[in-house]
Amino acid sequence: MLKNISKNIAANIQYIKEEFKGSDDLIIRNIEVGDILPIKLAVVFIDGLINSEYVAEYVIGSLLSEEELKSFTVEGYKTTILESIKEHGLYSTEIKDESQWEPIIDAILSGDTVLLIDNSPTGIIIGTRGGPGRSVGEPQTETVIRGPRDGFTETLKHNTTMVRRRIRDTRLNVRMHKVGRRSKTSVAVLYIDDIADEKLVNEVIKRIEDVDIDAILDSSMLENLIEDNYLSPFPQIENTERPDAVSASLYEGRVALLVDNSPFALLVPATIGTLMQSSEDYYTRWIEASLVRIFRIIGSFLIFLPGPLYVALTAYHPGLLPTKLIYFLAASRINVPFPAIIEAFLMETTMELIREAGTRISGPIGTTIGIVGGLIIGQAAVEAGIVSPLMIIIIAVSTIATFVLPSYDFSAGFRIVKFGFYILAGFLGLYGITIGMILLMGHFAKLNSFGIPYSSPYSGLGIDEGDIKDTLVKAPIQRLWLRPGFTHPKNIQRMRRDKKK
Amino acid sequence: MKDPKISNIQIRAILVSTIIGIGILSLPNQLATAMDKDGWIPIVLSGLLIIPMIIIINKIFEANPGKDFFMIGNETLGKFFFTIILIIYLTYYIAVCSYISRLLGELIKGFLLPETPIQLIVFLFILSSSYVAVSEINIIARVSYLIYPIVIGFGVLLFLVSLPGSDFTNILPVFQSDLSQLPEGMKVALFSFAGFEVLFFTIPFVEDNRRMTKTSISAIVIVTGLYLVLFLVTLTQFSIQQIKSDPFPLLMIAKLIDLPGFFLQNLDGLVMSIWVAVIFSTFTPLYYSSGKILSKLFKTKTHAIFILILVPVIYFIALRPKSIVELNTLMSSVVNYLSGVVVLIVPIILFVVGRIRGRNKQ
Repeated sequence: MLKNISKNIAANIQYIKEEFKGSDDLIIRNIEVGDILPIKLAVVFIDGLINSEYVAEYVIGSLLSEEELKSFTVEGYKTTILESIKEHGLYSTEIKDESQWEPIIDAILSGDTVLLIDNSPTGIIIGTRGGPGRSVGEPQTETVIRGPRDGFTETLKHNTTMVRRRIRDTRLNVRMHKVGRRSKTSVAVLYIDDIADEKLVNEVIKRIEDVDIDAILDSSMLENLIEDNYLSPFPQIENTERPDAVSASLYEGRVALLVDNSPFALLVPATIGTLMQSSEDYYTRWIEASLVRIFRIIGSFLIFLPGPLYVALTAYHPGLLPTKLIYFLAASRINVPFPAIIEAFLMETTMELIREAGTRISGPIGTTIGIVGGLIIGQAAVEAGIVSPLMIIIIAVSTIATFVLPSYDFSAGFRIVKFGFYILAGFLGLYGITIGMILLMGHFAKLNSFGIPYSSPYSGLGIDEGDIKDTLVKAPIQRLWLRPGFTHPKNIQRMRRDKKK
Repeated sequence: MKDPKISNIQIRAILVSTIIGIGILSLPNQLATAMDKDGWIPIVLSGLLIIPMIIIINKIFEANPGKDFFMIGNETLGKFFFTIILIIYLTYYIAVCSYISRLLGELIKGFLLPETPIQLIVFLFILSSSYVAVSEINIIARVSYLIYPIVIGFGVLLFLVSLPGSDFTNILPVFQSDLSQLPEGMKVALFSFAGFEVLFFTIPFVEDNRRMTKTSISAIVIVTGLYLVLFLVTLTQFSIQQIKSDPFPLLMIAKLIDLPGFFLQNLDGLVMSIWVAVIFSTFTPLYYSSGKILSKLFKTKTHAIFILILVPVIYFIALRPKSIVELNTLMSSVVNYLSGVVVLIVPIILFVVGRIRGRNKQ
């Protein structure tokens, strides 16, 4: 690959054509300006990636109509043709000189337009990115009853703008990186300079620079590549579609990653505490938010505990249950031909199938699947005596519980863990469940998210700063004086502490 | 990020959850056997005796800032003597770990899984503990902090649910017992405080050394308080003869609880299964310490490999005694005597020798 562009415009055009292997969507528009000494120019861009009206009017249009250029002669002016074009010939806002091939090719691929000039060893990159894109709409996954309704789109520029609008502070830092050898996807690293911990920021940037892959298609791919322990069932990076959630996290001293072509921003570090928070919590009154937080924590246990407990209690320790309940259980299970563990696996498999089918198919068919799955299979299974009604209730509750957690990946982690608990409960009863809980706690304690303990604040970090006030419950906003401690913010004070209270 | 750090509150959690473990289940029984209703006297006295020990350990580290237990030991006692002490520690830790895991196996078998082979129960427990013990001390601190609320909450809960049926006159009369029994009671009570020597392995990693002494003393106060409350709760529930005849009075309380409209009955099994987590938080720091000692003795970088080697070792020693009677007579006596050395004598030696050497230098 050549390094610098040559003075000869024909050679340059030839080179670009070769680089693009004669691809048909590469458009090279040759024009000539000047009456006395015509100068050859070439406008190079890729069809569809540019904003074509803009290029026609403010690039080609301006070059051809400008009076100064028409009468341009080398002798008549002190400046070069390049300077002259930049000063008089272009109406565009974003222009940049470039004499090396690599950035020029990159710019063409990103949707910018390149202007090549005969007899000049420097080209001009003109910002003309455009092309199809979704307009800002309501987030699909994190809907709120009250709160802002804009969500990220696939266009990185829109996304950074939405965050910038919420943080009108010069200290908000947006660092651009390119990831993917072929896809050259832009990744923006956002943080507030005087809040976020430098160690954290450097670690994030280091990990992004270390990524070596040919293409990144979504932020989830980047997430998998940079997270601490990719073997864990639990996500160590949070994702969100909401610009307000990203801004709030930046104010907490966290770092956000926005990936081009992905409407999901990544937030680091993520902890058990943050994965249980939803942006809605901050828009409702604190008592309700606190109540919801507590139910969410209960819900996270309900995802993986009721089924295994049912298996353990019916198979190993019926004596632990009250007498009346034993009678009821025995009566409901009298026709069930399988041991509890088989019964559970049968229903869990069915439930996972219904869930998967329902997610892939939307609209009226999806509803049908829900009805067939939920009502008909459940009802028929009980009547046929394959499963007990209590089992159906348990499966239903734990399935509902998976949707209570704000983070889909986090609740999916618990869903995966559930199968391990079933096996432990099937072999060892309550003791097995305790062993499972110990291993789960150990796993949480061992996990880190960018060097921050994943189990914070429940494992000690941030307790002194009062992180419990904004994780286990949600204290009134007047009481959240400090930023959360788990991010080690440089500036911990969030609001003036009222001495009178 | 590489250097593991522990905060003060985590130290308190490690101390409390390491000290409180399997012993508390049988503590009221042993104390009642030794001292009748005055079992609370040895608890209070031991607590008061342990506090100076805690101060001594803290002083040792204050005199040698920035050094860990192994460096201090080597410097004050010399390589040879310190290696002997390390071997004593190692023997003690392996013995305690084996004792705990066997007793846990027996309890689980007795209360929850009568038909499951005890080998499986014990092996699984050691294995799941090794998952955490291979990590560094900061991870163990986090686990301890996660389990800490269970330990405290449980004591409070047991106290609250037993309130309706309790008879407080049972506690009285006090000071009735024979004071010649006090040494016997002290032996029991002191052993139930064993585990605080884990401070040797944790203090070097503490973020804020200044508050250390206060934090560790507060941990001992919490433990003493919890022991006292649970002993008195047991007294209010049963006659002294019943306590003497049942080896695990706390589980018996759980069995008795039957609140109207309560979902579960016979809570002893449930309590036992939750208590496994508490025992786990006792077991893991000791297990970790023995791995650390081995890695220092063999001069390896990490202790992870020794944790794995110790899995079969602890397993076989744990299954050595043929019955729970043999376990109690043989192993607990070994453990009791070693604990005297480890818990009381070594810190004092380190402190005194360190002081004398320090004077000579000046």
